[in-house]
Amino acid sequence: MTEAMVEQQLESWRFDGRMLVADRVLPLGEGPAGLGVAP
Amino acid sequence: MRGTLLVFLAMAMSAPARAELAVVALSDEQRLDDGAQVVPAHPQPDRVATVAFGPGELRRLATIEAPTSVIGPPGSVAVTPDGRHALVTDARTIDPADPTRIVPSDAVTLIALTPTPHIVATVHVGAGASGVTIDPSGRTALVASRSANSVALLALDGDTVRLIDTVSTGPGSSPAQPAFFDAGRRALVTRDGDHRVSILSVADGHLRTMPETIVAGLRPYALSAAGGRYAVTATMAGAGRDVDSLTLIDLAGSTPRAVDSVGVGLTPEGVAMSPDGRLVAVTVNNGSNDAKAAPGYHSFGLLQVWAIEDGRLVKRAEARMGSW
Repeated sequence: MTEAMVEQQLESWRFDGRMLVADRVLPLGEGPAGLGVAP
Repeated sequence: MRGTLLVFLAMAMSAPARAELAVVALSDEQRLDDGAQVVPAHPQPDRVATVAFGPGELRRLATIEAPTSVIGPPGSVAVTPDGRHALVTDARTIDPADPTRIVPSDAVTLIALTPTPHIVATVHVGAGASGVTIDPSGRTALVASRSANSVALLALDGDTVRLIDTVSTGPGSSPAQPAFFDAGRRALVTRDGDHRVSILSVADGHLRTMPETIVAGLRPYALSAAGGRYAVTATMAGAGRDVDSLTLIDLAGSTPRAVDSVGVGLTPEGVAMSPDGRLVAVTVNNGSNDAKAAPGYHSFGLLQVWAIEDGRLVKRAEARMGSW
């Protein structure tokens, strides 16, 4: 089951002040290892 | 546990009006086999991808080959304030003498993001180059080197990057993630090897460690600072079995100090504060990287949002997300 355990995807979420709302999922096909966003 | 969160949060704490740019490090040098990290026989090359995200949008723009590492904190990528460049660290790489092993690397790659991503420079710091952060001016950066037990100060100028100073955080300290505060004049760095958070000062191209340290739980690892008043760090001591914590650090005054701590679950590997410093997002592995027979195993991770209210962490929301 190697690899099958790993979600190779990027998820975006929104927080409306009360709840977390799933927005989008981007399949990557490779293991995400770090993330940076312009401040 | 040295694994890195494999599902990330791109959270719009306040919905942006336009798409933003995210930079994602991709590495195939470690995979999971029922909770065990293994080096694959034929890994894909390390890569870096740019992603556009905003309300209703999450789109891969471009991908290039560049050295990255799945070992180390998720803060192994930092983007300059103008969005034109990114620094990406490479904490571990496959041993050329023995492809079944990974060994510490010291490479930090500067990538120009426009018009399309391309490598413009590489600088070498201490071994195990892991968490990286860029100051608000975009002119300096810090890199924590877990194997060398040091923090490097880099000077950034367009397409160039230079190593200008290095300080030791002490034997066995394993510095993981730095974060600037005080308009780039000071910084914190987590030390998951000896359970401390260092306070650093940056002045005139020199980096100095303050004699005082912060106690923020066992094995502080991920770190985020935003808004000027607070920082948060999450611990990694539970090894996927025992509960870990999120600690609030008050940055006011000459010596920052831990002022609140809350349990968040098994292995909170990623933390991010909202730009205004009022909210904290935490990604929790939740045992999803453990063996299925492990007592804490779950098939999903958790995403939590905490508010900072009167110097305390208050839980606001939690949702299931993808696994490690």
